[in-house]
Formats: sequence, C-alpha cells, structure tokens
Amino acid sequence: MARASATAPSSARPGRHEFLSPEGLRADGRRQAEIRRFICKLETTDGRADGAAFVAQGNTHVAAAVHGPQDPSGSTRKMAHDRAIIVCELAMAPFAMGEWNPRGPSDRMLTEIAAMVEAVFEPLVLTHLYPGSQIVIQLRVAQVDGGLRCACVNAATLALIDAGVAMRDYACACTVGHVQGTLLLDVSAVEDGAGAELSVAYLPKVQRIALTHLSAAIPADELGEMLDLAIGGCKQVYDALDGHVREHMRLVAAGYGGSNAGF
Amino acid sequence: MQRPTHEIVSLSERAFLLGALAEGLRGDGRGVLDMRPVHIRLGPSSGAAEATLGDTRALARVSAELVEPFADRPTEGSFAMSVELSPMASGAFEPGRPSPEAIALSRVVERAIVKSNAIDLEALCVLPAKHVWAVRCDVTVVDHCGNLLDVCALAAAAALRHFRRPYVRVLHSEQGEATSVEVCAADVEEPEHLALRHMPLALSFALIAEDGFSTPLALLDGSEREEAIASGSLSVVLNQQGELCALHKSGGVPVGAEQIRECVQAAQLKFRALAKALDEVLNEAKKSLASSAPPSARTGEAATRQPPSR
Repeated sequence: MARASATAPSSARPGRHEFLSPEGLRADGRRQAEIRRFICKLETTDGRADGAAFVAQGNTHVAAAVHGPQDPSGSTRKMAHDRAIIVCELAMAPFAMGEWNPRGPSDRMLTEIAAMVEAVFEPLVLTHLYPGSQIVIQLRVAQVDGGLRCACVNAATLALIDAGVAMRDYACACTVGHVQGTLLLDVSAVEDGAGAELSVAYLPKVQRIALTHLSAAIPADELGEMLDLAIGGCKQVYDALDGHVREHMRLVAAGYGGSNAGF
Repeated sequence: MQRPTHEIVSLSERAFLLGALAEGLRGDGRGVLDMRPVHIRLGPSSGAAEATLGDTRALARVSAELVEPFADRPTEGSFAMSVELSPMASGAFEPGRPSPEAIALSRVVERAIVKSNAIDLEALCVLPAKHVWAVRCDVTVVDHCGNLLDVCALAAAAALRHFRRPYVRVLHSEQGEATSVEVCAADVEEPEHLALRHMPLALSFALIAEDGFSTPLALLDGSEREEAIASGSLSVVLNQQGELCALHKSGGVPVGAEQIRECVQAAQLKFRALAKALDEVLNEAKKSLASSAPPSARTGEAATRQPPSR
C-alpha cells in the first residue's frame, strides 16, 4: 500500500510531460514567476581587458570581457567619426549544448546573437563621448541551458559597467516560456523545447524594451501577459545585477582606504 | 571596410523627413499604418514566386530533394531557408559570404515557418529512415527599397504554397516489404503540394526616434529612406490562426510594452489584407492549372493509368 501511495499522481515532483505540478512547482522546484539561481561576478580577470564579468543564470554560463574604448583595430575595422562603434564577438565552447558541436566563427546562431547584442548596446552606451573609437565586447559561452540571449546581454552589461563605459541604463534580460498553456519565467532548455520562449531585454530606469525574440508560435492575445511577466523577471535580474555592482564597488572603495563612499 | 547597410541620408533630407513625420506625413504620402502596394507573381514553374512591396522586390524558389533522414528523426523531412542580398539590389550589399543582415533575415523567416510547425515535416517522409524530402527555399533580394523582411517572408510563403513536389511511388519486394522508391515525372503522376498547416507573413515597423533614444514613432512598412533615418525596427509575424509566430526586435531604440502591443494589434488588422492578396493570386494559379490538360491526356502508357485517388 505504501508503494502505491508513493507513485500516486499527487506527488510533488512534476511528471515527465508536466511542467507545472498541481502544487504550482516546476521540475527544478521553482514557482511559476521565479527566476533561476542568478550568480554574477565583476572583475573576473586580472588580464588586459578593461572590464570583465561572469554571469550564471541557472546552468547557462557566460563570461564577458570588454576592450575599449580603443582605436579601431582587428578584423572588423569599422569606424565612425562622431561616435564609438560597438563590436560583439561571441564564441561557444563545443561542449556547451550537451553534445559535442564545434561552431566556427560563421555559425548562423552565434552571428545572429552577436548582432543583437551590438544593436542592444548601440543606443544604450553614450557612444558620442568616444568619437572614432571602438568598444569590443567579447562573450564566451561555457554551457547553455536556455536563455542564451539573455545571459549574453546581462554579462555584457556587467562587463561594460566594470570597464567604466558610460551608459544610459542597465540592460536586463529574462525569458518567459509558454509551455502547455502556462507561462513560466526564465525557462530551462527542457521547458523551452516543449513550448515557446520569449526573450526580453528591458531597461529598468527607462522602462522600455530593447529586445524581443520569440522562438516559436504563441497565441497573439497572450502576448501582453507574457511581456508583463518577462518585465517582472527582468526587474528581478536588475535587482541582482545592481545589488552586486554596489557591493563590488563598496569592496573596491574599502580597498582604496576610503570609507563607505556614497554607495 | 564594411559599407553601411543603407545609403547615407543628407542632414537636410533627414530634417525634412523628421519634420514631415512630426506632422503625420510620410515622404511618399502614406499614412503611418499604410503599406505600399503589394504585388505577387507566381511561376513560370512550380515553386517560383516574386513578391514586390512598392519597389522592393524579392524572388523565391522552392526546391526539394530526396535525402536520408537524420538518425534521431527517421520519419521527418527538413526545411531550410536562405536569403541572398544580391549586390544588384543595393550598393550597400557585397557579394561573397552572407552578411549578418542576410543571416538575420533568413533565420527570422525560417524560425517563423519551422518553429510554428507551418510545414508538416512528417508528411515529407517517403520511406522511414531511408528517404525523406529535404525542402529548401532560396530567396534573392533583387531590389532593396526598404522592409526586406516582409518581402522575403511574402515571397517565401507564395513559393511554398505554389510548390508541388514530384509524386513518389514506393516499390515493394515480393514479400511485401518496401524496398526502394521511384520518383515519377510530372507527366506520369500529378505532383503534390506540400502539407502546410498555415503560412506566416511578416509585418514590420520602422522605429523613428529623432535623437535615437526617445519614444519612437512606429511606421508600418518603412521605405529605404525611412529605414535610413530609423533607429530600429520591430517585426511582427502572424498567421491565419491568430498566432504570433515571431516578434523580432533586435536592439535599437527601446519601446514600451504598450507600444509593442499596439503594433501587434495594428499588424493583425493589416495581416488580413496581405493574406487575402496572397490567397487570390494562388487561387487564380490553381484555376489555370485545373483548366490546363490533365496528365491522362498525354501520350504513352500514362494515358491508360487511373488518375491518382487523392
């Protein structure tokens, strides 16, 4: 009898094809509008990069480094006389997706995401302050478990802040999934594979959306609800990012012997 | 090295366009939510289509070949999409490797079609684990006067709905096992249309913000001039079932959630006219196909064969 009750359908763990249990819990124990464990670090390299950061959203790990503002160089050699040009270079480890899949520099998915990151930060960075220069954002993806675009945007934001590049606002990104008729915040790869995923990059102070990207079809009348949920997730990400930046700056200021210098 | 994607607009023309937009006027006399005239032409062969939106023109060609399926999906065919930005279309396009813009265009259209299950990939299976159809759609932009995504999606949709693949007969051994397949010529067996569940169409807005960061004005179907002064774009891809197949805004000037909703609603209204234009052209093509001679009227042994009962 005890064995029968252990396999009863009311068990707290969602079944194989059920992404939200009757108790409102997901496969990894999260609630519907809860983001995954969010870890971020600033100044992750002692090397030559002007800024560096690391972001882990659940099992999606992205490292970022920013070089610049500097003279235009490298293979791109783009330049504008009155502002800085933002260049994003994105590479992914061959083991990042679970299967061994080396991706060359001309990979279509990576090219698309790199172009998106450039376009998100182009209006956000005060590029007119750095005329004739180039700001290079290097992104390295160690592992992917859903929400790759968002982790890239979040890591790039932190690295730009670490480099001291002047920006109008943070860009905070989060996904929302439409899985089996329910909306789930910050979806993992398994949840994304079973439904649609909407990636949103939100500017919390400006209160507007910089990027939207939908991976599969959703009913058009549910868009409003999905955007609202995604913005809620982006605000959670913002709290984590901003909290960490302030904590980091407090430590840096203390290291210089200063007191709690206004942070 | 890299030339700008759009022609450069002079400061005075920019000021003129922005000044007119402030009064609700567009350079070509359209309203904010008006599209340019749509024209679709099919043929001459099956799976070829040309779509124009104003002066922007794209050609689409659908082709299919029998290939061995992927080992993990033995009963599914495949669909791939590629967009070529021909240097003929604009001085800003260069020959050679596809540019990030061309990659973004083909990825958005391909994802909108594949991920919304518009094409029944299992219906492309001929013999499981042995032969499936690999369908591909190649779009070439031949004239770039703004709003490439909508034109590419429209041309691809027209070509996919017009395309007919050859009929394939499965040959059986004496034990009744399926052994091999035979591709029938069009004069022996009637070719078949693809099994399509729906077909998404794109409607894009050019986002115009004077300083590149203030709340933008959304213009449906931006022309080349308007795109040159725009600070971003928002593309809405819809289908007949009222589904949103893609919502593509890759950076650029940020917009409020409310404005995105308004754009989607405006696109839903315009979608009907666009879908109707496509349906009319396809129905006409179907009628002219039905009125042409049936395959049984042709010579040889095909004349004695019963027409396929489909």
